[in-house]
Amino acid sequence: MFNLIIRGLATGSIYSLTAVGIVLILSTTNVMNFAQGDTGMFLTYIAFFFIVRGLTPSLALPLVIVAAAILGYLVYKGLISRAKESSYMGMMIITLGLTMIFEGTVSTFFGNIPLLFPPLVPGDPVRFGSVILDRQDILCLVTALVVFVILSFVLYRTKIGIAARSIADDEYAARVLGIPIDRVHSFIWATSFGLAGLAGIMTAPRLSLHPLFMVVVQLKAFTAAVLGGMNSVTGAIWGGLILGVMENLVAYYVPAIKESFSLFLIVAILLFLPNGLFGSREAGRS
Amino acid sequence: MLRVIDLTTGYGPVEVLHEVNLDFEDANIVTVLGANGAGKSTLIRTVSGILKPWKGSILFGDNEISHMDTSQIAKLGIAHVPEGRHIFPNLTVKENLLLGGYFRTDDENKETLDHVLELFPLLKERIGQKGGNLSGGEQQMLAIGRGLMAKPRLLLLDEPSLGLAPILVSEIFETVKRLAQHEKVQVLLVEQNARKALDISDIGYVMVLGRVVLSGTSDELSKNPEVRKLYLGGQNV
Amino acid sequence: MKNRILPLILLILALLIPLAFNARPSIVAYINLAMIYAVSTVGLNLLLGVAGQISLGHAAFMGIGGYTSAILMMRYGVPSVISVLAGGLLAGFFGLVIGFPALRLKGFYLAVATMALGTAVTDVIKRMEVLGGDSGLTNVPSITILGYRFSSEFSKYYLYLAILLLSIFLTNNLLKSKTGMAFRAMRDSEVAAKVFGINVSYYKVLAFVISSFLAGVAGAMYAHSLSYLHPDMFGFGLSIEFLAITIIGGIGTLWGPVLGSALWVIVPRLFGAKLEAMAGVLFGVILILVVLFLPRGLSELIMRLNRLFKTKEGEQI
Repeated sequence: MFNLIIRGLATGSIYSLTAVGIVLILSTTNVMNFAQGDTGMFLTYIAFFFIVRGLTPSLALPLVIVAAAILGYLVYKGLISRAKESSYMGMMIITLGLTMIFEGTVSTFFGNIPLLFPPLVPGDPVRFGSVILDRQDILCLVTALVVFVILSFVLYRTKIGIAARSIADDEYAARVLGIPIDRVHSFIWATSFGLAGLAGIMTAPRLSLHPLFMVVVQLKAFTAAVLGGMNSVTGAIWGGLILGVMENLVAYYVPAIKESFSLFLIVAILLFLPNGLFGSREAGRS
Repeated sequence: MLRVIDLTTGYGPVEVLHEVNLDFEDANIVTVLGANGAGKSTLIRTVSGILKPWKGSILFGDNEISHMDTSQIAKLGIAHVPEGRHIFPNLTVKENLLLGGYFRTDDENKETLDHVLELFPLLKERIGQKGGNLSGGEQQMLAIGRGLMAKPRLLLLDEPSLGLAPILVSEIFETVKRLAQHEKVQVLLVEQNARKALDISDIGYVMVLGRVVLSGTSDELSKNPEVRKLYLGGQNV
Repeated sequence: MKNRILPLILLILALLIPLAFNARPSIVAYINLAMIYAVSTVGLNLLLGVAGQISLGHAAFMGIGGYTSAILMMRYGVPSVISVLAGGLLAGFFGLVIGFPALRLKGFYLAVATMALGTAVTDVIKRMEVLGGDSGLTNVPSITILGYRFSSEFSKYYLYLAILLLSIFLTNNLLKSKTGMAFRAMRDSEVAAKVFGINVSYYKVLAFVISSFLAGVAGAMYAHSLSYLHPDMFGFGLSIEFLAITIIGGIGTLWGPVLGSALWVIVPRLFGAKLEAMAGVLFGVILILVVLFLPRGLSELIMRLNRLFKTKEGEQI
């Protein structure tokens, strides 16, 4: 039982990382990023490219973060900022276009056959008394923890983080104050892509590398974000963890509904609990 | 220090300001009066860089600022306190204030913050609370305080009395008057509440449908029969 | 005069195409696939472009229609015409079910909800052994009407062409009707529509029902064409493809679905088997370019070309 929960938390932390990425972009730039999962997939393949050429798997972490920041900046500057006149639907569709580009590019260079991605931290599972913990799971939890601590520091104690939160609160006011909105947006996209990349390389050892391997994770991440109130980073974190644990427990006790469970949950929450468990404001259903 | 020359601009295809002229000269507080839709807020937005002029120019000291973006204009020392206050509801009072000084160093901001909190002891009391929890009057103080954090030379105040009870309005105007006198900051005050505005200002402009129709010292304006009839009589149309 | 001649010429050409490719049935097969896609897209176009409702679960309705029609024919001996219609109707019924959440959700949130529901449908199908579960459904028979089996690409071509033209014709009529006007009013401004007394709730649900009916019919065509069904064929990926086709073809235009589907099916074949994956990239790029620069997609492109010839093709609806 305890093992289930830990495993659930580890899975959940991957959902949280992805969900936070989605929520950051949504609340500050007002774009529903349907490419969050596939961005992680793309970055993971980049890491894989270097790993098969001799890079130590654990160095994939910093590699992915750097690559993600660059990619995020480029995508924002080259694409998103040019689409300022597009409606929310247009922006959403642009992200869907990105998924097609990422999936197609990866398919072309690596094919569609699932590939084995090495564990980032080698070694057998660790025992703590009667509890067995997979090293990968520990890595997920620790990484997520570190990331969220850093993120919370950035959002609450750095100028650019507070500026990001202000833009999420009232973009007009931020503009009036002369806050450099474009720069903050670039920062947010770079950060979110970083989160996507981390989620990707944490998932790859478990699921094996395949152009569509992050699609299901993204779906769960949306559930987590919705559970957390869609506009709240804290909500997304808790949403992911709760979802991860719930899923694992459900999978064990009621295996039949494991997959559909989170899907129906999204719809149920959107309809009946629009602010999720943690959202505070009217998140604007329109 | 501020001079607006033949300013024409609008939204989309609609022209809203038609050749507006305004000169601060040595005044401390300049007020722009007019009914809803007169273009007062549009004027402020154009000065602060949110809206771009179609024709004409805006001079701030020696700088032609009409085509600068808001960030640059803010750095030059113009602070915009928007209509409707627009404080950040989910950020604390302290965070709201610090954002006002975004372009200044942390040390400078710390000093200015202490000073602003002295000016507005009310904000000091509520420093850790979220902006959304403040009352209307408190939010207006916060918005003004936030504007002051930039240590501006010119403060653009857009309808500070909007939606506030009369007592609070008096307080706000008192505060603005004190600020202009003691803080070495000029104020461009846009208002529907003509009486109070003329009370504290030195020069006034009256706008109707995007044009300046009348200007003069506030004294002259408050004695002007047309102004009295339309703006000081009882109801602001 | 020109108005009547051009469509007539195109129709005659359309009728002659299979004859031209008689020696290459595989090409006709692709055209048939394009037509199936087009019927489905006519539905999505109606929902997205005319009624302004976003759906990322469109492929699921095709799945429902396909499985229904296949099972009815295979296990219960139901005649094709009825089974295909039944597929459409059941899909339409599910559209009704999805229409209700749509009443309370807008924009992003509707997109997320439809994504979830669409995926849920495929998951449920996977779990149902009676539908073949994860192995899929094989040996789905071809459509048979009055004893004639539409199994050759040639014969399917004319059948599908008829269905496609019928769909477009009916859609065109719908658009000119009161319903069409209500849809457009709703798309442009829900608030204004309500002010004018339009029952927005009714029309929203109706839009979902009609579009999913068409998707269901297309799904049935798909099932009887490929003779094989698997739930993974109708997932989120396919829904995105339809979204892309709708937009690239020209959202809200009459011939957009046809243009988009044609491009969709034909371009990858140009790349050849090795580079088919690149087609995905190309489409992603085209999709983004269309959103940024050419809002009415290919239809707009054609409109501009037509202005050179001064005809009224590709008129926006």
